[in-house]
Amino acid sequence: MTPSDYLALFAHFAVLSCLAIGGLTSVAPEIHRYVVDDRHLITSADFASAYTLGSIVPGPNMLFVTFVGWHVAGLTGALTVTLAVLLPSTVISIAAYRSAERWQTHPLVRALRAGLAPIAVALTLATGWLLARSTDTQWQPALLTLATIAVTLRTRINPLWLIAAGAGLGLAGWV
Amino acid sequence: MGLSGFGGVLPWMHRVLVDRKGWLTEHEYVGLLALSQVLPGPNVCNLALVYGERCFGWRGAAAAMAGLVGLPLFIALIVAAVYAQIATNPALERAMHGMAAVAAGLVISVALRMCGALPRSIRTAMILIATSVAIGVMRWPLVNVVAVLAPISVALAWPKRSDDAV
Repeated sequence: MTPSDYLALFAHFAVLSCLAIGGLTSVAPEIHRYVVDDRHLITSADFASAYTLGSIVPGPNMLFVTFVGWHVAGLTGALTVTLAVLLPSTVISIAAYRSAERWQTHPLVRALRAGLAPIAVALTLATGWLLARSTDTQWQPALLTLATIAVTLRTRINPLWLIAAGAGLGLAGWV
Repeated sequence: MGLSGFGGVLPWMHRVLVDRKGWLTEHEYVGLLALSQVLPGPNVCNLALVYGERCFGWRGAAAAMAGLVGLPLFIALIVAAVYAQIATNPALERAMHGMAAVAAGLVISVALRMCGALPRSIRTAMILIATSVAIGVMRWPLVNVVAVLAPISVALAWPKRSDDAV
């Protein structure tokens, strides 16, 4: 990959990041289209494994782009893509928050906060629902999901235990 | 927090910021989350940035971001380097399946908790249901749904004169 290739990669991911309302997963289909179909940089299977790894590796799920970048061009690719995705949105977020602070009591800002809150909660709910739908194709994982909800809402157990239990049940072939 | 986030960090953000440390009330958390979700880029990073900024300005934002992303990024790079060896292990796939089911439950739980912090009004309920169905059930594109529902929700939420009266 030439330097201009890296620049193109950086630019495209930076732009995608600015469009990624609701998290990077909302532009995941577009990322797939760009690196797999359009530029033939990686295979579809590589993209799928990148996404899966991004979900299980500790840290934000957005890290799946790091794995995509790795498939494209090793370490430099991974770092290029990760930086491209974090930089612009970082600048925008800080600027937006500061102006929100200054205009706290303005009716528009109050309306924005109050109006966007139910949408934010709904997006989280929908994400959980979609995750459940793709994973819980049988009654066993569905039961595990329901049990997780019940336990999380009722107790203060550290979620890591629940995740470990999930891994154990999976390994045992029960799920 | 970055290290704990198997299957996504959002449930952790909620757990630490609201449940365990009590740095934010449920209401404040929902407010910050709402802001970070409509800002472009990774939600969870935006949330960390906004919270860090709120506490300590841009240095807080940088610190929060570095903590959230730094070590996980390092680990991700190592995993990427050795992935070829572990990829097709069926035991790993089974374990992942179990973890994914738990992760789904965790995210739903956080959403349900946040529902409790929303003002109890018809407006909130309607927008909540409409958005959830549009995204989760109908699978309409996120940008389109938000472009339609957000202005409606904001317009409905516009503070009336009576809200300012003390």
